[in-house]
Amino acid sequence: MRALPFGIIILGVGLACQAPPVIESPGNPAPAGLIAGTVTVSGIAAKGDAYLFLVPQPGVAGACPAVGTSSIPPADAVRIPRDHLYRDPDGDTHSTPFVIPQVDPGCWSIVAMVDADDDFNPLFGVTSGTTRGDGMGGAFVDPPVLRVLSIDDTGQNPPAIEGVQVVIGLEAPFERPSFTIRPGTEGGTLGITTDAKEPVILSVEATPLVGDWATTADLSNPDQPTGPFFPIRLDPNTGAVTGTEVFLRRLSPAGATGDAPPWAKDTQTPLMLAAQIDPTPFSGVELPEGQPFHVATSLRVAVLPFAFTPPAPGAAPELVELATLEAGNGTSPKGRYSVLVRLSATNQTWELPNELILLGPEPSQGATFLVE
Amino acid sequence: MNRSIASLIALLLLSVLPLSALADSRAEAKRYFRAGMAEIRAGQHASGIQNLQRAYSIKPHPSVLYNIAKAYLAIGKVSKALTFFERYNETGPRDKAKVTQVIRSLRRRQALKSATARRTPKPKAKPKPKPRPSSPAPTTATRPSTEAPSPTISPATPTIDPRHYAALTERLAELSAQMNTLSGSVEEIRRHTQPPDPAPIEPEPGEAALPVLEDKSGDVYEQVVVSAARGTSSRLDAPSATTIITDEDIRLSGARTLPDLLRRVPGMETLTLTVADTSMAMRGFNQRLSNKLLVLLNGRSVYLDFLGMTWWSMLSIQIEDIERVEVIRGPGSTLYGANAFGGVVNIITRPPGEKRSTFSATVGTGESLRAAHLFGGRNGALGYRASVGYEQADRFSREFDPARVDFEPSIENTERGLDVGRFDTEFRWVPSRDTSVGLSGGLAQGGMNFYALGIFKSFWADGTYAYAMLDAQTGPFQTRAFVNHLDVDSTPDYQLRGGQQVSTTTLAEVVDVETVYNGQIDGALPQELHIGAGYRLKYVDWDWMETDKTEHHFKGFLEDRIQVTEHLAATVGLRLDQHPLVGLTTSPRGALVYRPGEHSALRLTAGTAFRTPSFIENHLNTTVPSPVTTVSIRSRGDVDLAPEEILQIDLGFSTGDGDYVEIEVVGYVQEVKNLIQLGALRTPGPDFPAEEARRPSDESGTFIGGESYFVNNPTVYRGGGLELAARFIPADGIDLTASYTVQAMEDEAGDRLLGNPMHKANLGIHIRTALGLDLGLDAHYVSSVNITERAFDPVTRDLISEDCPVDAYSLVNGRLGYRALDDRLEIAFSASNMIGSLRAEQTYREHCYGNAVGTRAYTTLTYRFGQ
Repeated sequence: MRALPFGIIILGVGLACQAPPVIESPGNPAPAGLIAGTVTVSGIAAKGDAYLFLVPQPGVAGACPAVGTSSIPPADAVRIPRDHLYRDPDGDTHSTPFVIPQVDPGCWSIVAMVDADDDFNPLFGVTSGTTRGDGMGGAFVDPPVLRVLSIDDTGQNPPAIEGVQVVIGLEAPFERPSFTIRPGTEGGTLGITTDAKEPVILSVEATPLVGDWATTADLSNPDQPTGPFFPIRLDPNTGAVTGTEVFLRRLSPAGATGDAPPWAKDTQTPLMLAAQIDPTPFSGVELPEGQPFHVATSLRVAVLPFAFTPPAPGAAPELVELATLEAGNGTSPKGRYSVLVRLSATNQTWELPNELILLGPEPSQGATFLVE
Repeated sequence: MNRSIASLIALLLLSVLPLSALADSRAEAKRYFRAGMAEIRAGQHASGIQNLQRAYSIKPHPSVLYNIAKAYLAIGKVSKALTFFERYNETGPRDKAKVTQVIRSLRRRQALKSATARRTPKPKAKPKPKPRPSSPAPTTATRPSTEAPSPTISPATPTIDPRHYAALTERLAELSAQMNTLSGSVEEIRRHTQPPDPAPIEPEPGEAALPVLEDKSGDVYEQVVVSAARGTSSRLDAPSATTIITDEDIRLSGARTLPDLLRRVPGMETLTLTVADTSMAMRGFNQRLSNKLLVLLNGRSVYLDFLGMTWWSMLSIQIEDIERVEVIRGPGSTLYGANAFGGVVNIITRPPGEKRSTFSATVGTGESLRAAHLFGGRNGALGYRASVGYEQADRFSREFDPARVDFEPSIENTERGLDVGRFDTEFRWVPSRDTSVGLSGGLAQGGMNFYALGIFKSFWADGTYAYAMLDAQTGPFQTRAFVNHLDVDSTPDYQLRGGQQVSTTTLAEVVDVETVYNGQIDGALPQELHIGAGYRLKYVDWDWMETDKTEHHFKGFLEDRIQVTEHLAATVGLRLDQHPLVGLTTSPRGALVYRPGEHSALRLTAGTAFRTPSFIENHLNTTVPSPVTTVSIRSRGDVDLAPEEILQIDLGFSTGDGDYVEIEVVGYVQEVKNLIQLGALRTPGPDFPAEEARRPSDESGTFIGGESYFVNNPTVYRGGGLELAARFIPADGIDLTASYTVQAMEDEAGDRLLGNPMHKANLGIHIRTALGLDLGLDAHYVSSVNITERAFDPVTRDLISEDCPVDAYSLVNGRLGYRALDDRLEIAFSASNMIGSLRAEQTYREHCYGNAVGTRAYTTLTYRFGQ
């Protein structure tokens, strides 16, 4: 019996040295990888906060495509305050480390910008891109070819990719393509039927964004070219407009009933309508010397009676007649559509309606296109 | 492991069964005390004193010393009476002055008799006569013996020296008491051997009579309750359902923390989140940051107003400091104001003045270390106690794999769950029966792992929680003032590498003053009246609030206990609280207690309570990371929040035989409304200030993608529950406890509220043996629960309600102890979650976000000096 206390002590001491096990709570973020490296701004006058966008690339981790595309909406954005970036105010090249946290396994590219006019805002789709004068760049294989970074799915803890070089060395030449639509009144509807055979003609007018984001140095100076405008190039073979693209995108049905914001996309059956910019005004017009494109402030757009589902990046859309679609496999093209303008050279987009309606009156926010 | 446990149990049973064991100490002492007092009343002073001494040795109580002294005095043994009166006075009783007067008188008499004896020739001693077993015990005596030969006895008359006779009597009584444990015939033997009790000493002619000594023959071992009403009552008379946990319950259970101990209380809900943080609630509505249970330490609130929770691990006391814990089940705002919502836990420490010195050291798994030294004593009217200790323990589990690249630790030691030093002391000066002044203070310094609200989870809090309290009583007036001080830095254990860093510093002060008048009204309906008022200042400087905040709170209260008939008492109370944001809140309570018998009570109580919004709910203003790195969510308090409210009616019945069986049945219904919770996310739009969304926040460097406010849930919840508790002492040394709780709440649509476990059951067995081996086993069962948590949905970018299911679990905690060296040395092996090793996962969770709780085993060595 006397040995019992000593036994207990020995047992207690013997069991005392055990590290707590790792058992993650269900509420914790799932293990993810990380991309880290250095961002360098060089050769541009633009100064401001830098933003790095994590752009998903189609493919499977471990078998990612060789090069990436920048036209896919980013999954994350990281802000690097200018204080961190411009440590030497007189220098021409500025570098600072960056970390993109919580990167899930998969294929990724990094696109970057310097927000020279403080008008970037990730909360709204239409303000989450570059504007004229902003710095542009990314993690390249060889600029402008984007590098694809693979975060392998190891089954346990995804790895970190360190030492990634991001370079920002170009300035965006265009203002974001903000516009209004004519004909149509604010809050009005443009219509087309599913059995239409003829296009509906719209007029897309470049209009500076009002509000905070419009108060840029360029716009306040009447001597400077004002934006926005649409860069237009003509395909020498087909004569089609290539610098600017116009689409119509189906909105969520819940937006019409007020259950969803009016700009909410139809994510269940995403559908787009084809549109074509009338090249006539630019045909035969000589470009000014040194200018690679025409500058248009108004576009005549023909909304075609053809629909397509958003294609994979790099793939060509497959156009289907509205009537065929309506009578076909049950995917009705009916619904309410937004109008989207994209500058193909810089991937800048503008869409109506958009979220800025929340922040105050914006021009022609409500003009939508109804397919009945 | 299983074989080891079985071997231990077998060993224990072998050691227990053949032996005469000791009863539950309080019940056992109570039985000896009752028997002793009955014998004294019947004139059997010697055996009565013997039983009182047994009672005292089992569980010391000053009133027992007093009664022994009184009994000795009654039979004329002045020296012994003096000894026991002096020991009684050493405990610092309120009637010390009176007893001192008695002592002085007795000493004067002794001196007088000694002087007389010196002048009187000593009679020649004769051989001691043997007791005559066949003679019946005389019920009367001749002139009482004194310790000096009586001057009234003629030297020519041969007689027995009374001192020798008394010594023999005591020895025989002692023998008989010992034999009594072996044979039922001892009483008979004792009756035949019992000498006559000497007659009490009478004052000499011309000498002043001794002061009248009050009777203390009431059941001194009766458990009293001080937290259920403004006055003191027995548990059965308490106007609310009350559970008491004694120091011996604590010792035998081996519980390392108060929450572990409180699990056994019917209706108590426990969510162990970390080794140092357990959320507790009474009768439902437990959550990650539990804010509906008011915890008091000697009547002082230790509720952290800035968060609305209790940090049990940061209390300044050692668990050995605790004399008892009173748990009031049900609303308590009539007594304690805000936050006594579901119940009240009052931790009562040992009174200052006990002469003791104890050292305890624990080592256990999970890097558990603990050392504590407690001591106390008395210098005249001034009693004191103090304790100092250190405790550390590793977490049950770590939240993040160190191999993860996306998170990095932001604290030095991510394995440690508790690392705290504690100091607590109390002085009490009792210069007279009606006056006392107490001064206490303490601090806990160190760190602990806790789980915060919202999408934040595991934090490490490092800082100081200190207090000072002054209380004074003079006549019917009582005044108490205290200051609580908290200064703490809180940091998430791990932060997102490259993400927004979240840490915070908090300074919180509470100053509270309260004065009460305690009066009695005699008449046809005797009443106890308590009227009081108070003021509380709360100051919080927290960098998660826009600015520091100061609040002034005022209170006034009245309670009246009316003895309607001999068997029926009514207690009515009303309290008014003035909150700077909430305004005036009224908290009434009424209770009827009917006592059909000495050990039974039927009680009906109706009361309300409220919980005022905490500072985090009123004033929070901070940003929280979202899954998009450049975007944060702003979390805000709302100063317009209404207090949470509860109305509860409960009906309870307690019965037993006073010694071996206690049974309690309580049923209650309740209505709860205005529960405060995080509201839906307000995204940029008319309801959300656009300016916030336009530019990166200076505070976080991120864009504010939305705001989340605390809101009042408009749903009214109704429901009720049933609590059954029983305690049996089937044989000396064996104490069995059992309790079961069933409860359910539903909303107005009839949908059951899933956040509370429906069934809880507890079983306990505590065994103490004469060999010094003690065993305590406590088993707990909690049914499954689905807790609702708020989470950020990366797809919708909104705050959503997320189901957080927790499986039913069973838990067994145990302790095996061995006492030696007259109980001065104690070595104990204890374990929590003993059946953990039988589970496939070896661990279990009490909250989906909490630590996975594993098995812990401890060895504790305790040495009590000079007792």
